[in-house]
Amino acid sequence: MKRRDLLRLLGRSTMMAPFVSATTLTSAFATEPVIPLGDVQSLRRDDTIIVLIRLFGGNDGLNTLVPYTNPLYYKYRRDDSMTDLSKSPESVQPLGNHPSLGFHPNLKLFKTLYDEGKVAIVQNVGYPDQDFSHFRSTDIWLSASDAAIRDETGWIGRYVEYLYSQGEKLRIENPFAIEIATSRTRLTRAKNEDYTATYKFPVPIPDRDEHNRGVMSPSAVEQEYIRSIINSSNSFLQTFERAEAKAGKNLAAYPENSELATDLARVVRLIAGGAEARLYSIATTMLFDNHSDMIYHHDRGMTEIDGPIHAFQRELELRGLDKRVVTLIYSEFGRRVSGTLNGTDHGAAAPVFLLGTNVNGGVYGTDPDLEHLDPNTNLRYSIDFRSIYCTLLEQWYGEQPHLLSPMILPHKIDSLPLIRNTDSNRPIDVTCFPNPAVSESYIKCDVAFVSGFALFDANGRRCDVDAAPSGQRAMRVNCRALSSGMYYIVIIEAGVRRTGTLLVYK
Amino acid sequence: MIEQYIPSVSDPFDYSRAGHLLRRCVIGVRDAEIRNAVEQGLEQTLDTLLTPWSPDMQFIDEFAYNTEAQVVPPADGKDYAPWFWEKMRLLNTYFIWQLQNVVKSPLSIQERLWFCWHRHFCVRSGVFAEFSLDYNEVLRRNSMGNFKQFFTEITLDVEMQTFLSFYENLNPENGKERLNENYAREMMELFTCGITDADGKPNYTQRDIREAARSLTGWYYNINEANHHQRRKTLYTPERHDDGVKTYLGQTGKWNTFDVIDILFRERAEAIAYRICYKLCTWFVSDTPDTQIVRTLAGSFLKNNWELKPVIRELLGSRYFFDKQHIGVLKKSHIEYVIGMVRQFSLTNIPDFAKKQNRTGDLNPRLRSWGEYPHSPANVGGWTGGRDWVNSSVLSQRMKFAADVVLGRLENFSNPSVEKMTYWFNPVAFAKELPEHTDLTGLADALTRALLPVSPNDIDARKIHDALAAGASLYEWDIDNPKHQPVERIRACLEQIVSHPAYQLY
Repeated sequence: MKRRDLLRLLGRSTMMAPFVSATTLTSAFATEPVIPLGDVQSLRRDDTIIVLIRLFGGNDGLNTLVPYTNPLYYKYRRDDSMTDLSKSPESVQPLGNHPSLGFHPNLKLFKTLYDEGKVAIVQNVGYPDQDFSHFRSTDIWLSASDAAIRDETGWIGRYVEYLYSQGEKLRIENPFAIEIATSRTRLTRAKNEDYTATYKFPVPIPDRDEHNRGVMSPSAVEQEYIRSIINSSNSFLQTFERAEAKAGKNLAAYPENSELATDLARVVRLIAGGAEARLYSIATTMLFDNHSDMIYHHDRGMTEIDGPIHAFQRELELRGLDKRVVTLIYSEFGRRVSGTLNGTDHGAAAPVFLLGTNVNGGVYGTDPDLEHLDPNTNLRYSIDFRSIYCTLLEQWYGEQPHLLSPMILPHKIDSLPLIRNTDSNRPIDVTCFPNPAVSESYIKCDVAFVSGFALFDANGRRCDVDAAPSGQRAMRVNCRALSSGMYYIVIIEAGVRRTGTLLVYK
Repeated sequence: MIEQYIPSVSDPFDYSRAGHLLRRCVIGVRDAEIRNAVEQGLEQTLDTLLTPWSPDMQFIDEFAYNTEAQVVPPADGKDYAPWFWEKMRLLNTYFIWQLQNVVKSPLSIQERLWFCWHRHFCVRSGVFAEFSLDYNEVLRRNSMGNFKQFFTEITLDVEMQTFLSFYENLNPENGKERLNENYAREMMELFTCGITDADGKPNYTQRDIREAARSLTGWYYNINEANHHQRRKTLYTPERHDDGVKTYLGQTGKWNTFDVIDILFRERAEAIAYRICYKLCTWFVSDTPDTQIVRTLAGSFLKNNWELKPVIRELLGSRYFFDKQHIGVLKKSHIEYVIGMVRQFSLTNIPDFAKKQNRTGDLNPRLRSWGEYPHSPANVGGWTGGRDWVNSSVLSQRMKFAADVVLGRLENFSNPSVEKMTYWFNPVAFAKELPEHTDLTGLADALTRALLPVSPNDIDARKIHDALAAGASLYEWDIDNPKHQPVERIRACLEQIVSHPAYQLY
C-alpha cells in the first residue's frame, strides 16, 4: 500500500490528522476501541492496471493450445475430405507442467512467459446460449450481459460509473479506461458518466469553450457532443503527450510493422509516463476469422501476437511496472471442432489467457472435452467468462465481490484463483488465535506499528467490534457481539494492509 | 406512403432545404449546385439526383480491358512477385478511380449510394483488382435498382464470395458434411433480415443457417481460367451441389441458391423491407429513425416489389425528410469528409488524382489510418458509423486536416514517409464563385451558409465575420486588390468555418 492510500484511509477517520505517528495511534486504541477504517473502499487499490487484448474474429482455441494427446482432436481436424487443420504432435510445444497440451508452434516467446509461471490459462470459457454472430458475441463479451439481453453499456463503463457513484475522484484529463483504437466500443460505454477515451493518433486541436444557449435542436445536440469530445480530447491529449514524452523511447525490441506492437509499446509509454488509466483495451482484427485457408492465416495470427505480447511484458519488467499490470487475451468465441474444406466455422468455448508477474501461472479447468460436443460439434463451455471479470475486479482492483452484481456483472459469480497473493495486492497473512474463536481472539502483530483495524462479515459489511492492544505483540478482538460465521480481518501494519480470516463458532 | 413535402409560399424549397437535400445525396456539395437546385425546384432536383451517371472508364482501362494484366497468376517463383506488385498497382488505380468518381460526379445520388451500399455489402479486396472492379459495378448497376436482384448479383459476385468463403461451402462427400456457414449466416444477419425482426423476434435459427449453407453449395470460380471474362464469373457445377432435401425457414424441398433467395425474400419479406428501409433512413435522415415512418416506408418497398428508386424518392421527397429536426445531425464519414473537401473546395493537383500512379500519396495512408478506405472494412460488419466518425482519436485529425487545407498548409508540403501532398486551394477563385463576393458581410454569410448545414450562433457568426474583416472597415474589401490581403482573409474566415463543430455534420 502506498502512503497516499494510508492517508486517504486515515482522512476518513474522525480523529486523525492527515499524518499521525504510530505512537498516537497506539494510544488511541486505548480510548477508542475501533479505529474507523473507512468503508469497503479501503480494500480498493488504485495502482493496478488491466490490459485487454481482444482477438476479433473468433480465435481457434484448439490450435492455440493444442490437445495433441487427444486422438479425437486429430479425428476431427485431420479428415481426408479436407485440408489438414491440425497441428502435429511434433510441432506443438508441450507444457512442462501439463504435458497433455501444447502451445501453437508460433507461440514460442509466449511459451517462455508461461514457463516462467506468468501465464494463467483458463480452459473452456464461454457463456450460456452462444450466439454465433461475431457482433452479438463481441457485444456480449464487452457488456458482460446474458446472451438474451441487449445492454448498450460495457462492464468497464459500468464499473467507472460505479466508482463515480462511490465518490471516487475521476478526472477527464486522466481517463480511467483508454481504448487504443480509432473508434469506441461498448466496453467503455456507461449510462451517464464518461471517464474513458480512445487514443490512437494524437493531434492537439484548439479548445472550444463556448456553448449553445437555449433550446437544443438535434443538430445542436450533435454539435455539443463534438464540442465535448474536443474539450475532453484536449485535456487528456495533454496528459497522454506528457506521459509519452516522459516515458521516452521503448526499452524492449518490438516486431516491426505490427499494429499490435505499436499499440502495446504505446501502452507501456503511457503507464511509465504516469497516465493514470487503469484499463487499456486493444483489438486486433481480421486474422482470426479463419473460414478459409485457416492454417496459413492462423499461423500468421499466432506470430503476430507472440512477439508483441512478449516484448510488452519484458518492457514492463525492465521498467519495474510488471507487478502492476495483468493482460487478458481473449476472443468472442472459439471455432468449430470439425472443419470445413480448409477452415472452420464459428464455434463456442475456448481458452483465455491471463498474463502478468502477479498471475498464478498454470492451467485452470479441464482439457477440452472432445467427446461430448454439442450438436454443432462445438465445445461446451464450463467456465463463464464473467468469472474472469469478477476475478479481475475482486483480486486485481480490490472490489468486494458481493457488490459487483447486478450493476457491473449480471449475476453473482465465483472468481478464480488467478492472481498471486503478494504483499502488494491481497495478502492473507494475518494470524489469529484461537481460530475458530468463541468469545475473543488475538491477532498477531507489532502493536507499535498498527495504524488501522477493521472487521467485515462474509457479505462485506463492516462490524463494530472492540479491538485493543494486548501487550506489544497482539491485539485482542472481542467476539461476543458476533454471531457464528466467517469474518475478514484487515489491519494496517507499518503502512501495509494485511488481511486474514476469522471463524466465529458459538 | 409517408407524407409528401409540397413546397409552398409559406414553406418554400429554399436554400436551407435544397442544401439539406443535396448534402444528403452528394458528397461535397458546392454553393452553385444548391442555388441551381432552388431555381429548379424540388421535383426536378429529385429527378436530377436520381439519375444514374456513368463514370469515365478510361482511367481504369488498363486493367478493365488490357489482357496483359489479366494473365493467370504464375506459380511461386521469380515471376510471382512482379505479377503481384502489378496487381497491387492496379488495385490502387481502382481505389483512386472510385474516389475520383466522387469528385467528378455530377449532381447524382449514385456515388453517395455506392458508399452506403458498400458499407452494407462490405467486402475486403484480395489481390485481384478486376474482382474489385466487378463488385464496384454490381453496386453501381443496382444502387437504385431492384433490391432482390441486387442481392442475387451480390450473392454470385466473386469478390464477395472469396471474402465470405462461398466457394468452400461444398456438398457432402462420402456422407461427410463439408459445409462452410460463413455466407449463409452473413447473408441474413448483415445483408437482409438481420438477427431479429422489428419486434425483437429471431428471424432464423442455427439450423436455418446450416440448411441455407447446404442449399448454397455448388459454386466455384476458376482462378486458372485463361479467359478473364470466364475467370471473373462464379460458375455452377451440379457435382458440387448438395441436392438433398432441406428445410429452410419452415419450407422443405430440394432447394438451390435461387430457391433460398426466393424463400428468404418471401418468408422474411417484412423483416427485410423493414431493415433495408431502416438503413435508408439512417443513411439519409437520422441515426435514430422514427420506427413508424420506417414501417410505412417498408410497406411501400414491399408494394413496389423491392424496387429501390421509388422508395428512395418517397423518402427524400417527404415532410419527414425535410423536418428541421433532421438538418445537420448526421456525421460525415472520413471519405465524405476528405473527398467532400476535395470536391467542395475544388482542390487540385493531388498527385494521385492527376496522374496514373500506383502510389496514392497522402490520401491512402490518411484514410486508412483514420479507419475508412474502400474495400478495407474494420470487420465483416463494415464500419460502426454515426458518432463513431467523430470519436476522440480521429476528430482532432479531421479538424486539423480541414484547417490545414484551407490555410494552404498541405500545399507543397513534403512528408518523407508518403509523397508530396499538394491539396492546392485557390481561396480567391473559390470565393468569387459566390455572387456575394463583392460585399464583406455578404461573403462571410454566404461562405457560412454554403459550408455549414445549420446557422452558427451569434458568437460564432461574429468570429467568422471578424476573421474576414481582419480588423478593417467594411468598405476596405476588394477581392481583386492584393493590398486588401483577400487570400489571407478568406483563408482565416474559412478556418473559422471548418473549425466549427457543424462542419463535421451534414
